[in-house]
Amino acid sequence: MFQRKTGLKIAGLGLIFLITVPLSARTPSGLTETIDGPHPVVSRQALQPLLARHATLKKKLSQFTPAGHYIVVDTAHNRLHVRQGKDIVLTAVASTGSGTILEKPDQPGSQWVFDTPRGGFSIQSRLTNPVWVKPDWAFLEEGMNVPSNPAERVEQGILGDYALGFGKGYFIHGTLYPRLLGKNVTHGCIRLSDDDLKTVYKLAKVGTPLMIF
Amino acid sequence: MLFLLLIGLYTGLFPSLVLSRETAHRPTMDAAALIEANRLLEEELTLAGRPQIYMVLDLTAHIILIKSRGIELHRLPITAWHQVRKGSLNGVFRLRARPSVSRPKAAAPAENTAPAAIELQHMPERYDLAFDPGLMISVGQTVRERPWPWVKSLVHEWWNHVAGLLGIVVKTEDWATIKIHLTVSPDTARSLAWTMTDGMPLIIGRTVLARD
Repeated sequence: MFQRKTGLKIAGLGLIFLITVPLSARTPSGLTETIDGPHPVVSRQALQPLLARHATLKKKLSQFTPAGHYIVVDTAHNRLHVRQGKDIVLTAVASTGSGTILEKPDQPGSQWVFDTPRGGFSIQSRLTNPVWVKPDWAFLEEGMNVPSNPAERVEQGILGDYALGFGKGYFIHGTLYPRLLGKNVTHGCIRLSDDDLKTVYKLAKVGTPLMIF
Repeated sequence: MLFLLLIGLYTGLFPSLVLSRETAHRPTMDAAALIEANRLLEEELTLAGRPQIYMVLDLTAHIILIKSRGIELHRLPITAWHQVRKGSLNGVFRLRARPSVSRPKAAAPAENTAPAAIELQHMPERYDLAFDPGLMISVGQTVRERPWPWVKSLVHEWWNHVAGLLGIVVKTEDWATIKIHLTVSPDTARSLAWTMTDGMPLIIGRTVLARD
């Protein structure tokens, strides 16, 4: 009887150990192996090499910041910001990619994906009174045949007064549907209102960095 | 026996509940903090020189920074975090797997109506992000926001740990993987899910130096 009770107690303690050890084995928030807890008092002189290194590294990092204007696009919230240094010069409501897909009829298993590309880019072209040369998907999406005559692809007045190209056929341009600004509705390009587009066109030059997240 | 069990559960459970009330450390200039800050800057320099978006997870400041060229583009607050399985957090990690989102098919555009699209509201609020080499970050909410999923994740963690102790092979877990759990609001979780792209670089820091 004594051995049975003792055995049960030991088993119970073991069970508690198995339950609590994994729960308490976490590294609590804010505690680290090297930073938290009391530290020995160190003179500022002793810290000088580290401080100097810190200043050097920060300076190196700051050198990547564009000297002039740069553009930041937030695709989640459909906002375009023109910045200079840490200052925001302009915030514009935009429309970015819908994320939808369209199957390519002549290539089974292949599809167009209408995302606004993410990453670091730069303005590669600045156009006034741009003309839209409709790609194949623009016809297929409407259930139309793709024309063989190139002239039938051209549409004017669709892209607004200006367009800023940033590579692979993607542009920042105007829109005929200002009510849809602020929504993810485009085929990958970035749309702005007429007024904002004019301001961005004036501020952005060829080579102006563009960061899209 | 029941009393001991309750004490054990209190010890195990309450630290995780307390996590949500911890605040970031005040800035300090000690050697360890400087060494850590310098390490993070050196790692960031390897990323800032390329035209890309990268993420800085600062665990002490409780913040996720989305950056490019050393510039902060966006910041997301972390309510709390804990590291389930330890290991070095130094170096650059790259996103290997993220939550998938079903894409609607494109339709003919109509003048005044928005077509079906993937939007921020469609992003998940609880998910795992797998990074190479060997890092898993799970994202979820606090107990108050999602009590049942929190309990489930707690039981899951406990089982994985016990299974490891008992030598039971757990099919879905890689024991070499460092695992961090981030507790964030649903909005932050959705924003983070939206922002992550395949191969996105991540660096992790625990610096208490004041930010500019």
